[in-house]
Amino acid sequence: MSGPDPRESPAGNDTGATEPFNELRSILLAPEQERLRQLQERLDDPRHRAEDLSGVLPEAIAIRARRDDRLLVSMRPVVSEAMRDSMRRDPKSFADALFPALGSAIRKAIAATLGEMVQSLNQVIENTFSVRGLKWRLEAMRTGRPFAEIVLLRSLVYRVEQVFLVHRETGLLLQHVESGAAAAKDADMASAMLTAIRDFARDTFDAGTEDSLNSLNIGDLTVWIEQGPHAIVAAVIRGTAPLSFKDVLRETVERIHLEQLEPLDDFQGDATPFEASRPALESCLVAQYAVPEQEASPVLKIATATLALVIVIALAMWAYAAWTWRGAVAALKSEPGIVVTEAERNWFGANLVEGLRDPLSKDPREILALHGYGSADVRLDLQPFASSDAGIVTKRAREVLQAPDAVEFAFDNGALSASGTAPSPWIARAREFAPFVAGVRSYADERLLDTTAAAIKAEAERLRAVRIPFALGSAELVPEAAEVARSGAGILSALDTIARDAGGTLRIRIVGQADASGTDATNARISRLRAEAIALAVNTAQFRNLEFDLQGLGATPESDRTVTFQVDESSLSPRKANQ
Amino acid sequence: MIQKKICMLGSFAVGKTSLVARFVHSIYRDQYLTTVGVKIDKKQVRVGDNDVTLILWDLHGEDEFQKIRSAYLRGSSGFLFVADGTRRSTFDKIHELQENAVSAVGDVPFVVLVNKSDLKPEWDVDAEALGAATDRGWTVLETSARTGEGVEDAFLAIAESMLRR
Ligand SMILES: Nc1nc2c(ncn2[C@@H]2O[C@H](COP(=O)(O)OP(=O)(O)OP(=O)(O)O)[C@@H](O)[C@H]2O)c(=O)[nH]1
Ligand SMILES: [Mg+2]
Repeated sequence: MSGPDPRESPAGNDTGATEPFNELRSILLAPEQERLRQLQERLDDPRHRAEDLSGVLPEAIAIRARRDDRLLVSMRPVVSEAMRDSMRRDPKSFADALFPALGSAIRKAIAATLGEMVQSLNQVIENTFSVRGLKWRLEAMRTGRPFAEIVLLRSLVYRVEQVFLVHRETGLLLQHVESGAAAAKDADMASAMLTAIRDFARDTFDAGTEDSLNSLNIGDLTVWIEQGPHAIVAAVIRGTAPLSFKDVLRETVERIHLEQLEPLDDFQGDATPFEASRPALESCLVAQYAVPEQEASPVLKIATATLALVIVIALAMWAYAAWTWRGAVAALKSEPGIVVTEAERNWFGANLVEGLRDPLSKDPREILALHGYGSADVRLDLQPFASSDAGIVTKRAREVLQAPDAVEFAFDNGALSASGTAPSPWIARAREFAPFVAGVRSYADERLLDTTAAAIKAEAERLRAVRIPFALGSAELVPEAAEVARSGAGILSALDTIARDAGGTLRIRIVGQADASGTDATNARISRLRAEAIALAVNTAQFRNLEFDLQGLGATPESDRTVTFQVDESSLSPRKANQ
Repeated sequence: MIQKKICMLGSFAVGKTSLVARFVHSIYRDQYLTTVGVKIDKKQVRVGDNDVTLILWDLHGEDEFQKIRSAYLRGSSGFLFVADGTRRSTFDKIHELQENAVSAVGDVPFVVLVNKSDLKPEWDVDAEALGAATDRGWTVLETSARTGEGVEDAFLAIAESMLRR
C-alpha cells in the first residue's frame, strides 16, 4: 500500500500528528464520505433538484392550500398575468373556449327577438281576414297609420298580476297586491331580489343613482318599475301593456309618497302602516282583454261577403286564365310546323308568342281562336322556316308536285314514299322533282299504282274482243259488221280520252285478215282493204290522241275474214311540245 | 310584522351560504358552490314578543378581485361577519369588512361568527385572537353549519341586537 494521496488528504501537509488520524478517518468513513459527496453533488445540480421537487409538488400544493390561502395569494398575480399574456398571444383559443357559452346566450337573445316578431306577425295575419281585421283596415286607412300598428294597438292583451311597493333603501317589502289569477310566492324575497338586481345593474353599468333599471323580462312576464325617493313600485305584467300604464305607475308612486311620507321616512322594518297604500296599489291591477268577436252589422257582413266573393271570383278567373293560356300554348307547340320559343302572358295588353312557323302549317290564329283568344289578344311573332315535320313535308310534297288526290304520301326521316294511284305522266314527273322538295332526301313510288297503264290495259282487253266479220272475198261492211265497228269505235274513244288525260298519244293497229281461199296476193290486198274500211268506219281522224297503223295480214292460220284492233300498251308517250 | 335586512359578509368559502342553508332550510352540503352576486333568503324568528322576518342577503365572498358592492349593503339593519376557524386570514379580514360596512351604512349591530367549529382541532384562530376581539366589544360566536352547532343562536343574537336598537 502506497502513502495517502495528497489530493485526498490536504491535511497531509500540515503536521505529522494529523497524518495518522486522517488515514484512520479515510479507512473508517470511506463509504460515508462517498455518500456525502454524492449528496452534495445532487444538491448542487439544479436538474436533480427539479426532479426531486417534481415528485412531491402536487402533494405540497395540496397541503399548503388546505392550511391557508398564502399559496393562492402568491400564485394569483402570476396566474392572472400568465392568462393575460396567453390571451394576448393566442386570443383565438380563448375565443374558442368561450364560444359555447357565448353562443348559447346569443342564440337565446336572437330567439327572444324572433319570438316577438313572430308573435306580432301572427297577430297581423290572424286579423287580416276577420271581420274585425276589416274594420281595423278601414281604421288604418282613415287614420293613415300602418295596419300592423292598428292590429297591435287593438288586440293588445295584458294583465297586471302583481304590484310591489318596495322600500328603496333596504329592499324590504312594504306592501304587495296581486290579481286573483296570480299566486305570489315569497313576495318579500322577490322584493329584496328586485332591489339586488337593480343595485347590481346600476353598479355594473356605472349608471348614476337616478338612472336605474326600470323594466325587466322574465319569460312572458315583464316587470315595470317606477321609482320614488323612498320607495319603488314594481308591476308584474303578463302580455304587453300600453305605454300609458307607466303614467299610472308614476301617479301611484307619487300618491303614496304624498300620503305616507312620514312612515316612509322613518321606516324601521315595520310594514304595517303601508296597509294604507293597498287601494293605490290595487288601482294598478288593471287588465285588458282582446275585444270579443262582435256580432257584425248586416251591412258589414254583406260587404265582407261581397269582398270575399270578389276575391274568390278573381282568383278563379286568374286560375282559369292561366289554365287556358297554358292549353293554348301547348296546342301551338304540338302543332306540326310551329315552334314556340317564347310565350308570355301579360296582365295588361296582348299576350306574346314568339317562334317559327312553316308557311304550310295550320294557321296559329285558328288554333288560338279555338282556345278563346281573338287576334287582338295575342301578338304573334313567328319567323318562316321549312319544317321537317312529317305532316308538313308531305303537305309540301303534295303542293310542289301537284299530286292528284289519289296519291298518298308518307314521310319518315328524309324518305318520302308515294302510294295510291296516279297517271303515268305524273308518276314520271314526280320521280324527277320529288328529291327537290325541301326536307326530302329520297323518293320511292313502288307502291304507287299507274292508273293510265291500268286503264289502257282494261280498254285494250275489251278492244281485243272486237272482231269485225266480212263476207267472203269482200271488203264491204255487212250490217252486222257496222254494228261491231261502232262498239270498237266506242272503246277507241275511251282510249283517246285516256291518252289525252295522260298528255300523250297511243298507237293502235287495225289488223285485217283473209281466209285461206284465194291467192296470197288477193288475200294480202283484200285484208288491207278490210282494215282501211274499218279505219274509215270508225273515223280514225276523230281520235286526236291515237295514232293508227293499218295492216293487211293476208291469210292467217285462223283463216278469219275479220278486222281486229291491237293496242300498243307501251306506246304512250308524251306529246311533243311542238305537236 | 317587522322585517330586517341582514347581510352575510366574509371571505370566500368560509360558509356563509352554508350557514343560511342550515338556518333556513336545515340542510348542509359538503360541496362548495361559490356564490355569484347575491342570494336572498328569509326566515321568521321570534324575539321576545316580536315576530321578525329576517331578509338574508348572502353575498359572494370578498377577495382581491371581488370587492363587495356597497350598494348591496345599503339599508342593512345588521351584519353577520363570518370567518373560517381553520383559516386565520379570514378572521383577520373581518376588521376591514367591518370598517367598510360602517362607512357604507353607519354603525349597525353585527355579530362575528367563527365557522367550522366541527374542525376545531385544525383551527388556526386561537383563544388569544378570539379574546382580543371580545375585548373590542365584538360578539363572537362559534358555529358549525355542518353540525348545526350555534347556528340558530347566531341568527337569534343578531336579531335581538337589531331589535334592541
Ligand atoms: N367542515 C365544515 N365545512 C363547512 C362548514 N361550513 C361550510 N363548509 C364548507 O365550506 C365550503 C364553503 O362553504 P360555502 O357556504 O359555500 O361558503 P361561502 O362563504 O358561501 O363561499 P362564497 O360564496 O364563495 O363566498 C363548502 O365546501 C362547505 O361544505 C362547516 O361548518 N364545517
Ligand atoms: Mg356563498
